[in-house]
Amino acid sequence: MDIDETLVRHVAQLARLELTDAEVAGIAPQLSRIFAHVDQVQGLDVGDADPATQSPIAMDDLRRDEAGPTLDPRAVLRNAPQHDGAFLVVPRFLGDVEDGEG
Amino acid sequence: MSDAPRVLVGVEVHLQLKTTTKCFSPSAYHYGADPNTLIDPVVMGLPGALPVLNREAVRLAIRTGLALGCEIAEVTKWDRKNYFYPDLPKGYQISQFDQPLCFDGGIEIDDDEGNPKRVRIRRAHLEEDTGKSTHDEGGNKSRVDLNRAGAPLLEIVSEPDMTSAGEAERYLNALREIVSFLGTSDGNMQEGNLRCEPNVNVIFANGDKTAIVEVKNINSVRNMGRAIECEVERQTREYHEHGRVMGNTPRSTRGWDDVNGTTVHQRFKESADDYRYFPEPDLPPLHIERRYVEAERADLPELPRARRTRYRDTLGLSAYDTEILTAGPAISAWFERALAGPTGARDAKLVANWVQGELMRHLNEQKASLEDVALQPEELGELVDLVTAGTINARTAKELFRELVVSGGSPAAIVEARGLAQVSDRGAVEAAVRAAMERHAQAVEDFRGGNAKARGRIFGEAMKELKGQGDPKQVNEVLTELLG
Repeated sequence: MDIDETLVRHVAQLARLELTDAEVAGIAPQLSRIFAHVDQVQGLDVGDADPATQSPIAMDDLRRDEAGPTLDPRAVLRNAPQHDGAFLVVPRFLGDVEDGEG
Repeated sequence: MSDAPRVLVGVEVHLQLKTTTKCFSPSAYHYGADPNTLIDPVVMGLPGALPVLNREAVRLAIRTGLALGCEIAEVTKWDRKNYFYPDLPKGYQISQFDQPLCFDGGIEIDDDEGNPKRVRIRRAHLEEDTGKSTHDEGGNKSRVDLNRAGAPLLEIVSEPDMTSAGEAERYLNALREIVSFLGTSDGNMQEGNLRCEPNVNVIFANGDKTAIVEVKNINSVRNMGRAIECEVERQTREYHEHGRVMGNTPRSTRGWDDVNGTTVHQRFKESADDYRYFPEPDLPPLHIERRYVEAERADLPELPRARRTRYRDTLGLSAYDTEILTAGPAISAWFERALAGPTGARDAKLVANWVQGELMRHLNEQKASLEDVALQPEELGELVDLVTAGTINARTAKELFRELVVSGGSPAAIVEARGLAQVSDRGAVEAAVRAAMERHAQAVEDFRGGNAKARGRIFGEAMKELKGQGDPKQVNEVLTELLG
């Protein structure tokens, strides 16, 4: 897979990374080499073996719906760059970025 | 073939499932708690914290999926949907991409002509909710409460099978009603545990289609309908004035503006690629045993639409009674219990009359709910039996009802203890009627002189003589005989 600069800029934007032109120019060929390597591995003939994912668990293995401890709200807020004593406070966001999809 | 443009509406519903704890961690969740008090390390995405799936969330999702006619996956898995947003502390949402828990379902609604119509449900998958944010009006800050983050959501995606705002509203109402009968969610739009996003576009007679628009921030069923109407109008105008169609216009998300009754552009849609979905490495896939699914299926209640049909067609209830007696799970269950007699079902119309008449009147007058009523449905059933058997007359029954509704108790035992049984001894009735005629000799004379009204006074007096416990029919017969 060929990774060009347009794709690098797009992915950087999705990851909210600021890259200089020089960085973009440097990263594109590096990523291309990494992807070429992955392509090579993907080309291996593994017959009809299933992908090695984790083996499934059963319903009985799941967690029971019983409440456990919660964090001290003061500790939660202390971790945030800004808060008002109850809410986390962030720069206003609405409209141009992904809305909380729920 | 009509030349009128066709409207296509699909609806995405996010339904918060009624669990005690979150989807992937044991923090409690309930609406209305103080901000940022229902949080644990998994919700915060703290290093080393690992999600563990809540069994009850899966059960409620399966239960809802089954009621929506869905297939339940044998093996289902979770995926990360990556995007940055302040109400999503981990930087990704645990959702399901290619192996949803429930798929290929559908529910029946009425179309605009009142005919039954099936709306297909493409999938219903389990995912976690985000936190809740509020935005300062005119300010430059947003406030985030992470309590809701991680609460279990079932995202129910319909096919674009609805062709009007009205159909979409009926679909949403049907869905709300189903989950309320199932008890899997509160389905309360005001509290945000049911949220809906219609996808709307228009197809013109020449085959041109407008780009699909998804509308968010909708807080009521009616507003969803208004938003759809507004979009149809806007898209049609944009098509005619600017030639905007799918292909030259990207898919977009708009927000419903309740104050101005209009939709406002928010953003163009990111494609699935941009979410960089990948299998959630912290959660193993889940194998759902068929016996588990079948047990859940066997436990489903009769759903409201089926119940309505049965009340009308099998029980012979009027449309009005049917509406009232299926208005919610509580009243419907109450009626069902009152209906079930010890030796088979009671007369549905008689029971329905009591429930939609006397009981509802009491609830309305007292502004009470069913839980406040001391009278048990089985006790009402017993009361109906006493009337049917002729043990007590209608008047005694009503008086007894008014007492029972506040204090409860066995009607049969009370009738027995207080001797309220209808007097059906012919001799006693005759004596009472004679006594009444003697006391109201003038009325007797008036009646015989042609004044029909005078008869009522004698009848009333006879009933009084019988302490209200006479069988009105019998008293009338005797009165007719003696008056000549």
